[in-house]
Amino acid sequence: MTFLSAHRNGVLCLLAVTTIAGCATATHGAGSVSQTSAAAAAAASTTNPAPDTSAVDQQVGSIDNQLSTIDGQMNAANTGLSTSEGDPAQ
Amino acid sequence: MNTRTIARGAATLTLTAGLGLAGSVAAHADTTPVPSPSATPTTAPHTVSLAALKVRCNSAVQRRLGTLGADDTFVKQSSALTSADQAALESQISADQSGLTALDATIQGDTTIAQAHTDCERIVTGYRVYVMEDPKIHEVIASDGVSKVDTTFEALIPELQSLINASSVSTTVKAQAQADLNDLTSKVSASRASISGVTASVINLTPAGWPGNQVDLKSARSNIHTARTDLAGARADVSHILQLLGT
Repeated sequence: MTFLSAHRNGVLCLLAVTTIAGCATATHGAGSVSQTSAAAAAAASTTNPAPDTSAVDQQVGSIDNQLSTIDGQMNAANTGLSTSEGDPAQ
Repeated sequence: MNTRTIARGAATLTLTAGLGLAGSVAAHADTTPVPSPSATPTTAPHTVSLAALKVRCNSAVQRRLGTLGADDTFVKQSSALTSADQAALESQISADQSGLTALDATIQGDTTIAQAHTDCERIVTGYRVYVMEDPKIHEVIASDGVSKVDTTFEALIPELQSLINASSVSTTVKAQAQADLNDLTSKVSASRASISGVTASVINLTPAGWPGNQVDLKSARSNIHTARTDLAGARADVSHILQLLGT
């Protein structure tokens, strides 16, 4: 029984070590894949850079705000042009 | 015509005038906060007393001062106005505010109905706040705003050109983007042409020129509208270009 027990513990221990090693390898492998992808992305980025549109976006945002202001002012002007002064003396 | 008929006629006139004034204020309320007028017409007297006339005139002055105050805020806070136009409008508003305040004091000191009546009419004829000053101010802000947007577009055009040139999209798509940019450039130029001289055509209009100068206000409105339409087209071109380039 003692021999069997020791043998069983040895097998379990071996399995555990193998599993840990496998996990470590898998983790390391995954890390490698990730690094490779990043490198590929970086390479692609160098060959075909995405255009930086932040300045354009900022100007377009500014234009939209200004157009909105113009519309508000024109609505206000239209109101004045379609109203009458009244006559408080009457 | 007996006395009762005359009284009824006077009541109708007073009610009509009261509602007309209220209607004018209501139409203006969308743009400028003004004190709410009483919707209930006052009891129609056979003749308006001097005291009642003074109250009515004071109310008319206060409403106009409210409108001018709101306009002054617009002018002070506007980032579209050029500094020269801003200064000119502020000066005009300030002059109107001082003039109306002084006129109100004059009316409150009047000792006859005839005097008060004549002075009260000057609230309208001397200032034309609702029909001329206020729309003029808004048109100048809008007109200067269009010019400012034109300038912003003109700065944007070379940046969009760079994006098109550097883009990796197909030749066909790049050609479409270039066509949009050409259209944008054309629309901004058209907007510039439409808005040219608009501010100058209205900023110095005075109540003395009323009603003739109403034509100038309407012409300015039409030109601003045309320029604004071109800017809308230019803005749509920008969106299409960015869409084509996949940004």
